[in-house]
Amino acid sequence: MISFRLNGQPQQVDVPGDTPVLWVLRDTLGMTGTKFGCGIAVCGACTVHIDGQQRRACVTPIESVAGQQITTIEAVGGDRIGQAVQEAWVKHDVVQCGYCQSGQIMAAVALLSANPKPSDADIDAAMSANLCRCGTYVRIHAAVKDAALALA
Amino acid sequence: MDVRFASAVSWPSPCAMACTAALGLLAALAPAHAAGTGDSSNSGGGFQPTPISATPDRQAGLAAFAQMERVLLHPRCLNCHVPNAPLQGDFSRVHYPPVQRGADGKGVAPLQCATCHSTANSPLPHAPPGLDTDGRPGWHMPPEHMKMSWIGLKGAALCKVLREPETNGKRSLAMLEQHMVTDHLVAWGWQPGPGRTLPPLDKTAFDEQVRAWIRNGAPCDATEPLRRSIGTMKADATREVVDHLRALAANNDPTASRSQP
Repeated sequence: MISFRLNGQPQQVDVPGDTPVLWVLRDTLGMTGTKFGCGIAVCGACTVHIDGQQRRACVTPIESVAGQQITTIEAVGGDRIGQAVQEAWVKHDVVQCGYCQSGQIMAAVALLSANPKPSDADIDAAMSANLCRCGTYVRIHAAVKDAALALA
Repeated sequence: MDVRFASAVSWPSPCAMACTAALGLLAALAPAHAAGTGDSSNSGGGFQPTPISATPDRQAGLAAFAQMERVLLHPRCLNCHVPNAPLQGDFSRVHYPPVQRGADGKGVAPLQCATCHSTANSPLPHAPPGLDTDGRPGWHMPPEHMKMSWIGLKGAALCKVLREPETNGKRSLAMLEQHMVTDHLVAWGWQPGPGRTLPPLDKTAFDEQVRAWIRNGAPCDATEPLRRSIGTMKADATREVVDHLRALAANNDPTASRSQP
């Protein structure tokens, strides 16, 4: 049995320790907001926060997060930064197909948590680790800037 | 820690207080010392450094380093021993995503090494490799204050950057041997996961060349004097500092001076 906190609540799962966090979220716990994209930590669709730091859930063994806090897209709007990012996403109508967007939002929240006033270059560098096949990068960039302004 | 230091005796001297605080800090930081130098060595339990031979053979030492060099310049090592951002893959391409080293060599939030490098290699090609350090992601490169960049170096120049404490993370020859022989990030180079080539020597052969180089005086060229000492181990070096601070504290502690005439 592996114990951790998920979106603020204590959670236990009975799975092999090398099971990726993404599988635990989606298959064991039925939380499908976090997406499977590439499965090799390249696209960013599966991004979650572990103790406040962004991680690729598809390559993170569940045993490595025992005792830690996992935050997913389902709860990221519960804090000030997450809420500002989600509002900016709606305002800029960022989403096209939407598949990558939970990862994009988790990455944006991680960026603004670490760097409340990111430059254009900071945004480009940080968000470049999350791919979007619809090419919504311009709107993502604008929404991150807007969220930063709203939080200032 | 010494019981005397743990007990709350009065400290009339600011110096003694400072020494005691330094001792406590040192004790607290000791386990993290490795991370600070970019070293992910295990505790090194059981490791015995190779002494320098009484009759060192320069040519044998140079030949051993020539074999070591083949490994040091392989992408498994070189990709992170770089001036700034890491490289990746067998062709040492620019790293995707565009991460930065960071002060501790573990990246700069929000894109840290641990964002994508987990605790284990993925069984799938093209996935970022992983490393377990005490159950947590352990991937890193040398820290900002000691980049240990080898890009563009070879032969004697590479050898000296590797050997000299000013450029090798303040390691003695003994500590350098321990790093190369026991560090689990170094050892990862021989277990890199699918789709990555291995260094040209196997790990056992590499370790033996490291020992042969040190045993023969750690030569880097044909003229400089051979090394006669391997220096201290990390634990020894830390103990020397603790002993020194204890001596300073004791000299400023009248209670201690009364009880130890």
